[in-house]
Amino acid sequence: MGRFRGGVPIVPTFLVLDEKKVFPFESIINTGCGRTILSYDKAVLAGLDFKHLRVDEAEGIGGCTKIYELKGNIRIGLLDEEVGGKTRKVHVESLGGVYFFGKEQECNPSLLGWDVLSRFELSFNVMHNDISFKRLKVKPFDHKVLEF
Amino acid sequence: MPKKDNISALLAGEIPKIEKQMEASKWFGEHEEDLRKKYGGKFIAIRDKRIESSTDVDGLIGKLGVERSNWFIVYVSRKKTVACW
Repeated sequence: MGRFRGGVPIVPTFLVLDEKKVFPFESIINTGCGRTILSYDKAVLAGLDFKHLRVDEAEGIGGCTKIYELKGNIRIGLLDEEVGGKTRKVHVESLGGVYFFGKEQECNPSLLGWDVLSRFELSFNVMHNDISFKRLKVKPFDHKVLEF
Repeated sequence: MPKKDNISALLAGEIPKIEKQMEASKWFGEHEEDLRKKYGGKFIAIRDKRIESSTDVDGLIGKLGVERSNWFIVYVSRKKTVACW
C-alpha cells in the first residue's frame, strides 16, 4: 500500500468528512505521533474555518506548536493496493476527530498517527519499497473495508 | 439522510485521483534536487508534470482552480534536509 520517498514512509490517504466530501492526499507514517495531524493545505482545501476548531498543543522536535481539532463524523481512508494492482481496498477508519496544522506550520506534511496505526500490524520492506498493513482483529475500532 | 453506500461511491471517484497524486509524488521524489534549484523555499503543486508554485499555501491553492484537491502539494525546502517528524 505505502512506499518510501526520500527515505520516509508514505501512504495514500483519504479524508472523508460527514460522508459527503473526500480529499485524497499522501501522509507520512509517524509512529512517534499519538494522533493524526493533517497539513494546513488540507484544512484550506476542506474549507475549514479555524475559528471553529478547538485549539490544542503538540510537542515535537521543533518544540511546541498549536494544532487545531475538527470533531465530528471524520474518517480516514487508507488505500491498500499499489498503483496498478488488480483490486484495491480502502480501509475506512472512523475517528471522533482529527487535528490540522495551522498557517504558522504550513510547511508541515500530514502525519498518520497512532489513532489509526494502532489498528494495524505494519510491515516495512525497504528493499521492495513496500509498506503493508494488516488489520489487528482484536481491536474493536469502528471501520469498514471497501473493495473497488 | 446519506445513503449507506455514500462513502463507497465517493471513494470510487477519488481512487484515480489519489493514484495520480502518488504518481506526482514519485515524480517529485525523482526530481527533487532539480526542483529545489527553481522552487526552493516555495510550495508547489504537481499534476500531470505541470507545476504551480507560491510562497504560501493559500496563494498556491488560489492558483489551482476548481479541481484544486486533485493536485499533489508539497513544500520544497531550500536545502536538502533530513526529514524528522
